[in-house]
Amino acid sequence: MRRVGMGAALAAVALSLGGCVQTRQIADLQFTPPQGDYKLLVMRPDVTVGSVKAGGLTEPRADWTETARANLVAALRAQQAGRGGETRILDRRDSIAGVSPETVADLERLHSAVGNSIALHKFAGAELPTKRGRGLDYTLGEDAVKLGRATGYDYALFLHAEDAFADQGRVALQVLGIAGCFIGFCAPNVGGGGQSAYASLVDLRTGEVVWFNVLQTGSQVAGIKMGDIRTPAGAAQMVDRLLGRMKPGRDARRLQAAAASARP
Amino acid sequence: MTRASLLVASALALGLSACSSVGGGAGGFGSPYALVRAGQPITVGSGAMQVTAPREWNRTERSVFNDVRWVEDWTLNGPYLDTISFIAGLPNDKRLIRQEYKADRQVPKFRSDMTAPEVASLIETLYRVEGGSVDFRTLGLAPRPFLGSNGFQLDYEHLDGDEVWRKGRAVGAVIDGKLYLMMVDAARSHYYAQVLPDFEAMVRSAVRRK
Repeated sequence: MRRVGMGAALAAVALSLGGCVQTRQIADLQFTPPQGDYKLLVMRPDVTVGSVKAGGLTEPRADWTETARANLVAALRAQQAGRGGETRILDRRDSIAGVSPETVADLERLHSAVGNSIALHKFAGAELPTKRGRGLDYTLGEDAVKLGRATGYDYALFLHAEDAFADQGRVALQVLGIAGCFIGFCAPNVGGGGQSAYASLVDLRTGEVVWFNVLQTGSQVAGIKMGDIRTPAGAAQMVDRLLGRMKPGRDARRLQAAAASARP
Repeated sequence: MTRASLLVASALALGLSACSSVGGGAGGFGSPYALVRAGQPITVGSGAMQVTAPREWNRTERSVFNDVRWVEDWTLNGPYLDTISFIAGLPNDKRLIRQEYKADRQVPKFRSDMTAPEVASLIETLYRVEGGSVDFRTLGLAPRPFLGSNGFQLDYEHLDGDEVWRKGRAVGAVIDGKLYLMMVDAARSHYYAQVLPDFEAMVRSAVRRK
């Protein structure tokens, strides 16, 4: 039952962001980024793009969402092409032979719950004492291993992206607020839109989530965008920010450092 | 924006608060969880029941404003994936969850003379009204001793607003007019099977404190 009120509780203390772009990644302790001959399955990106109304509510826009998803898929394809591995991007749930669309959907939904848990407990300060100092320590279990066995892929990449843009009403509200300062009455800053996104890499041989990266961009000024995934350039920028530089896990980094220092 | 995506957006905003123009941040709020050590008897709820966990768990700190003092939640991987709830001696005429006085759909109050099917119905209503479940299926309801009394076991599964199927088991008994109940609820895929042995061990370890 504790699940019930968490969204609202966190939303109540959510902070409005200044103009900024930030990413933070967490890896499984032994994780080393895939290299060489790996096979990567990119799941259909989970994308929502909406319009922030004057009152502050975000209204999802199907047309913007579809455009953004197509741009992100194209950007992922271009980005992975330079990596060396064999990549397949699922733009539909029924496009893997021998795997039902329900199986893919169930895995995506389980991943969504796991991704939310990682965001909440690894990034939002609600740290679980049992997972302290243990890297990521989350799994999709046997369902992910079955997908790996059925497809022959080594990794699955999940991408979740939300983007919101202030509509004209909200921009006007902010302009009015600033204009009010000239007559001695500054209205509270209403803030603009912003992006929240995460990418998650799952090892299909073990089911473990081995790497996770979050991206947050935001602007206090309504109308100022810190990237626009409705455009190909903005989508490529988001993919690069999320996946451009995968860091190894803590133990793998230590091993690499020890090996480097042992070299003559 | 769905509840799940709102949560993620909020979580990310908090976690990456270094670029916030407002002060504060994740560290300032502190974690709402405390460590439960394995093998040590722990008093749960208002103190009327004691259980022993077979491995380390995370105990949710309770709020005097939102929580019912007889009810306590533990989790292993976070409440989106698994929860064990302890209801320790809920008295007559009290609810399992605190609700707004004016809420349109109220979860019924527990009554001392409730039978096992009525408690099962209460649990279903809880999930449908406050848990956001869009489908709820009872898989089984059978007698089972609990805390040395004639109790019951309810097995169920439910589909929630985030489209994830979750599975649950409740083991309970009404003793001296009060409800003693332990419930495990977890994502049906992987997580239920992972936490069920712990739940069963805790049910076996449960002791009533008078």
